[in-house]
Amino acid sequence: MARPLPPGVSQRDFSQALRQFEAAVGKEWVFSSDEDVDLYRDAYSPFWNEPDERIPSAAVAPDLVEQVQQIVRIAGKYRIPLWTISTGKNLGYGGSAPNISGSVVLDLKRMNRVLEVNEKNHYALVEPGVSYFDLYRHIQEKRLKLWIDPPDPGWGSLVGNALERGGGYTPMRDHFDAHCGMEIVLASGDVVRTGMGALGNARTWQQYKYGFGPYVDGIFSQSNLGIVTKMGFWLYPEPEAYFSGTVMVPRHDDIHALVDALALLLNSGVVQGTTSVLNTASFGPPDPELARIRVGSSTSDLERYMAQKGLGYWTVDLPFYGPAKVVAAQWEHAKEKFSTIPGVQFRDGASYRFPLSQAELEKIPNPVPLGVPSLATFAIGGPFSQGHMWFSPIIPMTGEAVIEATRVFEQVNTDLGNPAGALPGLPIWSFFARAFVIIYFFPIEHDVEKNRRNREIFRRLVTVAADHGWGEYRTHTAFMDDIASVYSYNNRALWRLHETIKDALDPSGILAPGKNGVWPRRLRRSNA
Amino acid sequence: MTSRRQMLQIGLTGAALLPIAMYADAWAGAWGAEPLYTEPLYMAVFDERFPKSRALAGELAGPFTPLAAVRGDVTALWYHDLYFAWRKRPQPIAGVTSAESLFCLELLARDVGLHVTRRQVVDAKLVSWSIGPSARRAGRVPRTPPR
Repeated sequence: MARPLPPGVSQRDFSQALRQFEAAVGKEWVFSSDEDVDLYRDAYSPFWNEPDERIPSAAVAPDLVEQVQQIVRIAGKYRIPLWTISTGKNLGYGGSAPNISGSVVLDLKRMNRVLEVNEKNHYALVEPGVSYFDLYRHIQEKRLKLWIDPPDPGWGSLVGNALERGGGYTPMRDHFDAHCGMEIVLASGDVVRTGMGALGNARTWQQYKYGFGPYVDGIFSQSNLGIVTKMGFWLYPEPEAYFSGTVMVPRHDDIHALVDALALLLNSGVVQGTTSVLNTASFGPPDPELARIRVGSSTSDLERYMAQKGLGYWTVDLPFYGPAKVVAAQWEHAKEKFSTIPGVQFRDGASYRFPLSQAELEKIPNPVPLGVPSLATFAIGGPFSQGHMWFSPIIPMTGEAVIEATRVFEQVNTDLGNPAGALPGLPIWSFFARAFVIIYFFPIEHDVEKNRRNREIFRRLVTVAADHGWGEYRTHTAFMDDIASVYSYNNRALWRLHETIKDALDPSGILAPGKNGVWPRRLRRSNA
Repeated sequence: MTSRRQMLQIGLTGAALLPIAMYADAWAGAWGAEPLYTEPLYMAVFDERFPKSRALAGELAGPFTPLAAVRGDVTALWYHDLYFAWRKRPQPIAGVTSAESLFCLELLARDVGLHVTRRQVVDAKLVSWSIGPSARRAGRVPRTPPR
């Protein structure tokens, strides 16, 4: 596939810019050959073998903040769009590929220093190239009693994942919420530190988030307003114990009482880790009889079938972290709250005391909820080899919303002529406080027509979700404009505000144009 | 260390090893008589759940290359071994594994400037592959600097 030039940039200017990038970072860290630039293509592109795949023109990998400053100044001079990545593992949401073809990938993987880890106050300060594995390794090597909160899989960047507002599983599961303090290079080349970092000699940069005056950190998440070069994170003190309990309820309509009790436990802090609400029938092993009942029979038939199997219609797993006595008391308290549901069943799950030895750890199939990064998710089977993308709407934490979302999304699937059950089951997660997020798995295939069809379904789901008051929390680069367009209250007032800030901070429009639907003035459709 | 001559001799012992020979030849063709064949395979990876994987990886590796076993998940292999090896020098590896295992290794290899240079479906569950520097990049693969 031919590599494009940055939009509106001549070959001569592009070549000059590359030479200046080389002068800034060293020739070996500017990548412009096809084989090098290919490494930045989206491994899960929904445009497989189609001309719409977004291809970068080159990549540059600085090692120092000063080099990042030089790069943005050079890019500004030649109006070359920069697409910043940390480790480039944002799979399912675009990977390391840019939002518009011809962008130069600003690859921060060499900025991989763990700058500080504080065991007494439980925080870390890291550069963007530090992966969850890197910080875990650092903590293990120094035998610190600290946990990280890796997402699944754990090869991504703490900074990148937090900036994309990703989620994990432990009590620090909301990764942006767990950050404390940033350093940012603006499009002008200026360097800003947020929160207490603005003091210059701050001794609490990673301990108090807000500093003094307006709190600006949020505008640099899912954003194209600056390049984050350092970020602080609160870490979880290694707990004494972990316990997982399972709650199963027998009837479809039990979802209301189930979610009410779950919300109470989550919002009161009794349950602090990520939970998932599963329609049990959607997630079991292949079962022809179950498949027949799901398509052609009534809800009560399905309830009876699940009861015969000793399973609930709905299942929730509850993770508990903390002192062993507290964990046991929390599980007992949780059971009391769910025990008002007739026929509810409880099962004790995994139970661990920390620290675990390496041998103990290696026996655990999924160590991620224990703060241990892993790639095991790729080994569970499924069509991962050709890829996937995620459709991930936020819905209210209510039983009504779970039922309605299930019904609405299945109807979209049917309306589009797909067989019943073509949409995957709905795992409903509590990665974030107070609301559920649904994570739909959309396969990427080496089949142009199937990918087009899936993109059509995806876009239809976006608009139907918006009609019901549900919006996505994050999306693949291919759908950023689609998602942004439905956040349209008061004639797109929020996006007009984003554009105002964008034009003020990045007047040349060089930082990730169009990321999350925020376009610089020169590339806005209204100016095209 | 395996020499180019040794590698080619290994490659000539059976059709299953042809890709290795082609790999070495591609390097040699791009770089003239001497340079890149001094880089032997660091390891050959197989999935111990599949007997065929072990047999094919053994053939692929030849007598001079260590074999490394996985069971789908490559986390331990990378975390305890490849991470350190590739930090010192991004070295080629090969294997016969599931496509999912290869996918993980391919993306981890990207981080050190290595590519999948050969990919061949063996059956519904296994793929035979090689990861290494491309011919043009082989002389200047990026190194992760020490922290």
